[in-house]
Amino acid sequence: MARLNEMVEGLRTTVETLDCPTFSDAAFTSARPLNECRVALISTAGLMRRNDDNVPGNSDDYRSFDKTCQNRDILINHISVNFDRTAFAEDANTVLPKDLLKTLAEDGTIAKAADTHYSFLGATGAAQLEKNAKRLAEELNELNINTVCLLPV
Amino acid sequence: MSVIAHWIEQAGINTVVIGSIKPQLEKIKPPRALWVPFELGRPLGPPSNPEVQLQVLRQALGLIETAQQAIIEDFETDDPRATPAKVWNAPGIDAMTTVAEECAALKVYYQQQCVSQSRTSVGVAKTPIIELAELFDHVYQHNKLKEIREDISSRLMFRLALDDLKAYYIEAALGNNKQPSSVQIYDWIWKDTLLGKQMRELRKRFMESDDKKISDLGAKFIVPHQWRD
Repeated sequence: MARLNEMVEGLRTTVETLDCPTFSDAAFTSARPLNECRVALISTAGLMRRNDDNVPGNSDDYRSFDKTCQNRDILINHISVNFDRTAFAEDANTVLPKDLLKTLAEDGTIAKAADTHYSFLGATGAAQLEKNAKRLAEELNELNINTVCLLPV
Repeated sequence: MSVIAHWIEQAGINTVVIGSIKPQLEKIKPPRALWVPFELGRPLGPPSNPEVQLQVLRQALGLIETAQQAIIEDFETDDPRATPAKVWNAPGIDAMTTVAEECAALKVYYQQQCVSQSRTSVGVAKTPIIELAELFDHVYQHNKLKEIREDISSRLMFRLALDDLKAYYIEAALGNNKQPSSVQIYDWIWKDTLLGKQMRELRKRFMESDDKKISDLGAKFIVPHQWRD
């Protein structure tokens, strides 16, 4: 379904013409053995905790989901109607796979699953996200997280 | 969004993106990316299928260990849940005259799903579903938004109400545990339910509004591309 030739025309046009920034100074951190990776997840599904304020439609900030946060506490609050929500309704791990990450830590594939995971609102313009993405990077370094898996919707 | 990967990687943290839209990955060129052939909204693929989900996660994280330069790799397996379930039937409800009545009839299916999953994805409007259905009925009948909370605009409240109503119907469709595909669920919602038919009609009416905020609401935030008339 995410193959362009399988998308309806309006959606295909939207994703094909979306403004995508490029980076002339692209960073690339050296490869790291998987069993040394301490991994956090960053979703761009506009996730919120059930009892928190709604995610504003142009939010450039991120939300944190610490280990007290259960799957039943997490909601999608994204402004777009153009992505599937049935999978998340059935299984939160299709969007924020924190239970699966714990499985990989328990079987020794990775060193550690982070206690806290994060979410931005992917519909916000890329340039607006830079400041808080860099702030999150500082926070991750302080928490000794050395690997991030990003999951757009 | 792949751009975030650049800023995180600049801080010395290894990143990998699991992305569904290949042209965007190719334009932005994040340090490492796994393209997955799944529907937008499910980067890990099939729900209730941890085996495939773990394959996706293992392949993505494997790039942290193996890639020596920027890379986009493909995940080769299609989503097994994209195939319609032969045993699934839509919730058996009679034709109703209001969305509030329809929600009441679907309650038993919705509750089945809540109990079996110990969670619900309904809740962004922070308002009981029957009140959201009554709000929808009011807006549909009067062709005009209605303020029901002081702390939130009527336009935002209506958008959140639609999100919760759709989530409620999705969970009602999942309630008999027959694992339908997303297309089966959305076919039912948009073609067969009163809510779906009236949302499509409301979209057209709102788009004719002289108020740009209302016409935008109709144009962009009610009906997905795939189900627009």
